[in-house]
Amino acid sequence: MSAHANAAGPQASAVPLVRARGLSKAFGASGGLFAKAPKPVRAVDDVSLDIEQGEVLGVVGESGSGKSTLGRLLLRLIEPTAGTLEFAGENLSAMPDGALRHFRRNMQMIFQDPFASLNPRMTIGDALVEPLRLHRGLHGTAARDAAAALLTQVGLTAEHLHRYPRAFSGGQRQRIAIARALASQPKFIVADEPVSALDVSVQADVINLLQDLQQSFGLSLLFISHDLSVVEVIADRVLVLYLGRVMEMAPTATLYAHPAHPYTVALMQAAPGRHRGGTRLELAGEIPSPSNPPSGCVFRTRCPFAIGACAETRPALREKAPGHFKACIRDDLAF
Amino acid sequence: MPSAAMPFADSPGAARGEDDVPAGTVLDIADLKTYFDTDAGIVRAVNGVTLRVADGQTLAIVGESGSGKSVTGLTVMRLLARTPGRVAGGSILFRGRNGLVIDLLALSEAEMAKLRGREIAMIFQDPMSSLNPVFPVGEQIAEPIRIHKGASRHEARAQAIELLRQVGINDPDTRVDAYPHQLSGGMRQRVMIAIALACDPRLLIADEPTTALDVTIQAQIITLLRRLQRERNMAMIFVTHDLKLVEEIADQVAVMYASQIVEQGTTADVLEHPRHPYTRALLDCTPHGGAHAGGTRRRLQSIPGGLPSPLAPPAGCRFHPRCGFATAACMAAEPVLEPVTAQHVTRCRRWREITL
Ligand SMILES: Nc1ncnc2c1ncn2[C@@H]1O[C@H](COP(=O)(O)OP(=O)(O)OP(=O)(O)O)[C@@H](O)[C@H]1O
Ligand SMILES: Nc1ncnc2c1ncn2[C@@H]1O[C@H](COP(=O)(O)OP(=O)(O)O)[C@@H](O)[C@H]1O
Ligand code: SF4
Ligand code: SF4
Ligand SMILES: [Mg+2]
Ligand SMILES: [Mg+2]
Repeated sequence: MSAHANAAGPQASAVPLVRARGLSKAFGASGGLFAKAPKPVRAVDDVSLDIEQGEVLGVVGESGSGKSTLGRLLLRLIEPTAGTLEFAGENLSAMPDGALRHFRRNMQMIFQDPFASLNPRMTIGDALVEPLRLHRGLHGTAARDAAAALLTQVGLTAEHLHRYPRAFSGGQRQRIAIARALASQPKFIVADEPVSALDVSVQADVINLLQDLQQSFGLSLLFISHDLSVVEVIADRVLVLYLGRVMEMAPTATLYAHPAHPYTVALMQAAPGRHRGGTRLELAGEIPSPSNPPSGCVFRTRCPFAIGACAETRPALREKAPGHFKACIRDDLAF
Repeated sequence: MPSAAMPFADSPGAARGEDDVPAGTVLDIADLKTYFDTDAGIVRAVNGVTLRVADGQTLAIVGESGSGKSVTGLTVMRLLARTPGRVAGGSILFRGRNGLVIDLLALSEAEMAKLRGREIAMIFQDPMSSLNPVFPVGEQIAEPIRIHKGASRHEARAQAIELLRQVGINDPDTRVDAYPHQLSGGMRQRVMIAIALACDPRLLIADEPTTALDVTIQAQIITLLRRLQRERNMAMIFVTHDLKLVEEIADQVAVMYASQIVEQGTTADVLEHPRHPYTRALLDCTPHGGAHAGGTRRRLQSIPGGLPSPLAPPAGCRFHPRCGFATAACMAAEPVLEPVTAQHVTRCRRWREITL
């Protein structure tokens, strides 16, 4: 419980913008209605976090670690199986549907695949006017002007308004997706692998744009990526997820300079170009199935430092230094 | 220009043959052009590619998506008929196991089929689409062994199990009967490697074999490829868009831009002393860690503009619209690959005067 009480960053204010406590999602948890129900998939398991206003929280972890599920939980796009969620002090987990619909303008999502998130039969102008009308009540020229302004903000021009998505490159489509997310003037954006499908040069442009917008509007951002070097550029703090559980969470500079959890170290050493000389901590095998996670520390089946005690109890997320949390029972390891 | 001293510099127009391929070179591509005839016009996907692969070494081809990397690989494999594209010029000389140099472009389809898999093999970008979903993976590994080596069904199966073991698949005796959809992405990529290595090729072309995988699994596959390559003394072309991966795997690197190789040299030379502005720009926009060093955040550099369309590439140097060093001369005439050293070439006319 102690970790829950202070899971926030160092600049924690009284009321963070996003506050999650014990958030869990078990897919297929059918409540025993079916005799032979398959074991639930524990995609996110007991995650607590705070995101301050204007803060970028990076989320890293292997495929299947629960990053996207966590993002969708924080936007209440899916219902948690346990835990609570607050947004600017309001209890989001208990908010009735009607109020939630109204509240949604505060929270937006950007996806990895800019091709899939835009309707191919809608001009860019129409795609932008829709949320402007829905969330800000803008119509006619006012909506058009606002759409043009949004495009300018993301580095495109008003003449792009009349074109269809197919006329744009991957990077431009991602800019349009960002413009669309900004249309409702949100306070919080979940960006799920927003640059993973882009070439490095385009990736750099989109990251710079996201960073500029985030800073000028004081946006809070949950930035999901499997690429640690990209997260390092944009995030203030980083959360490392494995099998739905938080392994480590720390301010970015601290995490990259002094990773404390064996999984974080393995992820960092696996990233190309980060490893020079010495022996690399190479992880064997693959992430286990979240419907049948190992007992105790979920990472123990791949952890080179596992000892007998690791199988017994689930390691608590402990604060090893101010703002630096890790869920590993061994304090004798140095990386 | 003596070709032995200046290995891959351009010598336009000259007919090439066995004498142009020095000992120790397994593949020599000169001025290759591969075109696709489309409704919108001629897509010049590969337009003057010159590169060389040394025996037992790894050459990385690095470039942004659409630069022509995959088409280069498919052209070497002579697999264009499926797309359909055509070779509009150039030569691909290959030194086989018997030491003889063959012009791959002059072979009949039947002759090429004998070579494919046996002398040159390819791992494709997307393992799911290149594995057959209705056959167990074991049969797909055994097939080339039966065809090329004349092994019996029983022998081929035993060899398939052994190959699965070599590529690090646990419990190969059971997995040999698994269908592709029953395996994870990382395991499918291992199966692809097993198929490619089944007949012990001299040259392996691996087209972004780890792009779709987690870094942890990528690290496993890279370690595996390096080990197998060492054991078998096999040469490899490793196609990637990730410069940081190049550093880990390649002896040589060829940088591709807008359908051409713009720089080639040893990995250390090219990454530490690039001689082409595009290589420098790619290095600068790649996040290299230490973004928070010294308490201030560093912004990523970017390259203005985008990759030109292969339908209408810019005149002169293809990179000139995005190059900070461009002059009128750069726009007027196309630069050729010039030797910087015997090991290092660049397609920039200004490499002597500019500091990168
Ligand atoms: N709707 C669903 N029904 C059942 N299982 C699901 C569902 N959505 C996700 N999962 C499972 O939950 C786990 C976490 O998935 P999630 O998509 O959150 O991972 P991720 O970290 O985003 O992975 P990736 O890097 O591949 O995007 C996985 O095992 C996944 O198969
Ligand atoms: N079958 C085809 N028909 C027409 N154009 C093609 C075909 N295959 C590839 N191209 C074009 O050739 C260029 C190079 O493609 P490719 O070699 O796949 O790039 P890379 O592998 O470097 O991403 C691209 O512009 C691509 O659109
Ligand atoms: S608790 Fe044990 S198994 Fe888990 S990370 Fe720490 S040492 Fe490894
Ligand atoms: S030839 Fe000119 S435009 Fe091309 S890369 Fe060199 S300096 Fe730049
Ligand atoms: Mg995801
Ligand atoms: Mg390709």
